[in-house]
Amino acid sequence: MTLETRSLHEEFIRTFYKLIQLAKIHEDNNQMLLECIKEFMQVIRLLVDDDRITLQISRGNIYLQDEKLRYRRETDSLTNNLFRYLEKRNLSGLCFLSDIQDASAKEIIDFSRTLNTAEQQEDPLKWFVQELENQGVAWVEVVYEQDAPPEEHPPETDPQDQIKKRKERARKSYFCALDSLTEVAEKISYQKKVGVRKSLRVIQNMVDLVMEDEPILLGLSTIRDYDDYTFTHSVNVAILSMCLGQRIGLSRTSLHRLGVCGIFHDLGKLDIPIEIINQAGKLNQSEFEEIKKHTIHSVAQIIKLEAPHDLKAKILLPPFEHHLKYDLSGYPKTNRKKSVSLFGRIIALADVFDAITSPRVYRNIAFTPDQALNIMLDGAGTDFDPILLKIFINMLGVYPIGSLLELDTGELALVMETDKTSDGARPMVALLASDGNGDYVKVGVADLAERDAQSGAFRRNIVKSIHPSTLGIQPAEFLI
Amino acid sequence: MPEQSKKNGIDFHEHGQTAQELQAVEAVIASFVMAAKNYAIYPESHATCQNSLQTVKSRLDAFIENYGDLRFEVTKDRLLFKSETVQQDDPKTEKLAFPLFRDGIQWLEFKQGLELWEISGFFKIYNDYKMLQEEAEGDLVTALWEMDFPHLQYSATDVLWKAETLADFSTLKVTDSETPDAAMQEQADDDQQDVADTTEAAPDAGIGLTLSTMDRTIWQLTPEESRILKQMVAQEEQQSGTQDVLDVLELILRNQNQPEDYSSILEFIKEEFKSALAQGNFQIALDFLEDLRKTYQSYKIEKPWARPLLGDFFIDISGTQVLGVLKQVLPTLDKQHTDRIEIFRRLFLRFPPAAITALAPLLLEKLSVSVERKLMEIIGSLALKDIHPLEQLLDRPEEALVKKLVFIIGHIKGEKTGQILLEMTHHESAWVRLEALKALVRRDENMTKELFPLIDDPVLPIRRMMWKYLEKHQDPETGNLIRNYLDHKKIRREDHEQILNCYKTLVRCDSQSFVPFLRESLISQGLNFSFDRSLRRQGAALALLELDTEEAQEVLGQASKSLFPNIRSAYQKAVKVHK
Repeated sequence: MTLETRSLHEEFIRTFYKLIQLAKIHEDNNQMLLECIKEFMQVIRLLVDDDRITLQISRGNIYLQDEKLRYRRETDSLTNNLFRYLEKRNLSGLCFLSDIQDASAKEIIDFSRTLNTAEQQEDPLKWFVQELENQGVAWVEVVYEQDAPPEEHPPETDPQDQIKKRKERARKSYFCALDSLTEVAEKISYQKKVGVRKSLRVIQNMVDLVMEDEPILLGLSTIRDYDDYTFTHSVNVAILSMCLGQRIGLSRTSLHRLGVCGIFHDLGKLDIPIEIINQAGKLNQSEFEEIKKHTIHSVAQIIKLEAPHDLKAKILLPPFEHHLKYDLSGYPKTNRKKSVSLFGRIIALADVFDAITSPRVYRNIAFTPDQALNIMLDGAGTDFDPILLKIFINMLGVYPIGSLLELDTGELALVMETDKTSDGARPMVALLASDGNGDYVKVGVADLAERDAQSGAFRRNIVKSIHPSTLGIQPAEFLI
Repeated sequence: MPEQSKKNGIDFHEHGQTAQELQAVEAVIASFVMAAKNYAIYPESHATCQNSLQTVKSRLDAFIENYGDLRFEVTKDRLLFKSETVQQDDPKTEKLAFPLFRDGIQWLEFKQGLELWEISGFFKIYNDYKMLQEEAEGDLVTALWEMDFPHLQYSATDVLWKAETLADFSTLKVTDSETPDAAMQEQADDDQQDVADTTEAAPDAGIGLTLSTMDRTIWQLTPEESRILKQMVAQEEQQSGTQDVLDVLELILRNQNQPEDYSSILEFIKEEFKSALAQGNFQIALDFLEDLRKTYQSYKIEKPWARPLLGDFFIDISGTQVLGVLKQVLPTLDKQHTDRIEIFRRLFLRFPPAAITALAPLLLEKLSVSVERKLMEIIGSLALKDIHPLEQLLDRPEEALVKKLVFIIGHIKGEKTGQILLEMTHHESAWVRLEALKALVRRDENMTKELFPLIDDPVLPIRRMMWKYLEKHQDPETGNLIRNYLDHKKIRREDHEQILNCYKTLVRCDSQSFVPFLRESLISQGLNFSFDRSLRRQGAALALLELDTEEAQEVLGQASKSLFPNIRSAYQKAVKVHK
């Protein structure tokens, strides 16, 4: 495969994926969508030979025109996303015939929307094929498994195995992150020199995971440790920030820096007397003033780390800013008129979300994730960047991963996968039941979007969300 | 693990490789070892390093072309190729495998399309991280990950954590088992004081339904928001953020109350300040420095202990370690960058004179005329406060630099600079001597006695300048100096013009008093036919002709009628020249 061909194949994947994503959220006359269609058609024109373009997935790989798309780090995330997208629709591939060049923009949009909607159907593949026939779309055909090209080498693991390994990696990364942070804190408290090698390594692993499988990382961010809030909080903030950063298109290097930022954003709390941090009662004014200094202390601590200067320069600003608020009405009070940096705004979102969804020694109220998002929505434009907040909510979903729901069937459900449909309120859930000893076990999986075949009504409905800690449930145990 | 292969016997086909393939691998390894060694000894830009890289590249390219991508497995002290040992660490030479093993790298693969910058980057990383401090800033894996070489892949394990690292969620406590005190329910949160005000008044758990019943389009981005987001991300990826960092650092600094912490912040600020200069961001640097100076002034009362630390900081940033970055920046500025050049000037006028030591050598770079002029202005202004740093630089071996520094000194008034210039008139470089002389001549001070030796300077332009100077200072002192010079000078043929000038000038200094001397020079020693004598006679005759007094005419009359042909000849030659 020449470099030119490879670029064209990648371009096809890119424009195709972009098209189906844009068609999901924009109206027909949206300029970005129309531009994307143009781009896509241009690539089609260049690529179509022998009257067709064939896109297939098989044994964990993507094939275009029977040629396997080679692994490249830059396109890894995109190809994974497309692979999962087709998998969810039970599609082994699509074949675009040359007549597509005569299709109108409307036809392309309708096709994309049909493809998007297929996921929600009981039998996505069957439904999709039927819809194509109903709509009279003659320029695309479905590719079936038996048409898949021969594999050069046998795959090392099957997809389920890969997911299992990823979860294991994710779990290990989380605890390694906690471990590295604990070590840093310990050394700081003994006023020793502190290297950041471990923290950098573990965050790099997490960046790789974010790019491969965001839901797994989001599942990790549900972890709570009542006794050791600060460290789990810092790791969760790092995870949530990286996930949000990935959503908005930050580069790999920036994601890494954002993650390191997140993990160290509250390092300054080590300089606050522990009695104030763990104060059960209300803080008086001077205690609160003391707490507020942690943002400044965090910067001072970061500067002292044994880390490359460039990295420290990049990560010290957000810890300083993360309580400033979007409208600069927060703390520390300065004469600076400059707006909070992008990383600072991201960290602020992640910080508040994790904080208000965590039970604390001084606060009995911990909000469920969906409640927290609702509250944060009120802060759009004042406390939080409104654009980032939108993306954050979109990322987590109405019922974020790890939300515990009471259903009208009397069942207890833990959200496993966010609902990406336009409605957004009917995610995939794990059904939990008490084991009689005060713990809970997973007894099944359900799709809340599932309807009764006869009545058409939803089989299960949400009554309310419950904070997992009220039942002593650690969501990550069921998710990862 | 298979036994180490030997060249004379073992089955090389055991794992599918051929003898030629192994040889090619070993050639690649040899080039790796050499490159690693050279990177340790020489700077990256050194020809030896560059040649090593080229060798690595050519051997890798050759291998990949014939046999495909090259993958090495890594063990504690060896590199393996298809399970054959192709390199074993030797404690006496470069240990290639161990640092890779130490950081958990299991294999390295060099792929088709590998470019020179990737190879260079790899060896730089290897050199930077082959030895680690106890508290390391990173390692080979963190650096490789950061670089993300497109044609160099690797796999690494988590070696930094013990195998028994906890990975069990059940050890994490979800909530406190004790019932919380009722009073706590009304307590506000510390970190989320503002959100807590909202949360306490928040409705009960039915809120989730509110979010779920909202139209989902309210949290979908509009095209305008998408555009703003794209801009935000692009800005974040591209900008350096130096200004923001410096702003915050200044705030942090003001909040420090311990000298040790204060110093560590200053050390960091120094690097960031250096970054600003390296980016050519003179405005940021200037604003920062001005603020810091104000802080310095305020510390007389507020934090007297911090003043010396700040004072040291200003000296620190004046050194070559920081200002050396300007070497790359200044040559990029030209007459189009008038504003920036002006800000550059304003910035460096705020530096202490110690900065001269770092700034002056920049005059050796290829600078535009305007930049060079500004730089010289800056150096001159700083030298007004303290000439010493500039003076010390005059010992530098670079002639071109010293000449420019002498030019600068020449524009600084004062006794001290006069002395310095005078010393420089003895410099081994003619250019420097000339420059110093020009500066002294410009001063319009009478330094005849001090400068007089320059009439004997080996370089003609200097001698000529000296004569012009003497012509402006025709007085008895000058005359005596010339007389003394003539008395002791051993004349050579090349001194012809010089000697004649001496006599001409002599007579202008104090015309009458030198007539006896001139008589002596012209008429005595009639039997001395040496060139020396002959030239003196000619000179004396010329001088007398110029004098044109009665007494002079009388001496000339004697010479014209002398019995000695050499005296008559001298007279005649002088008359010819004088006409």
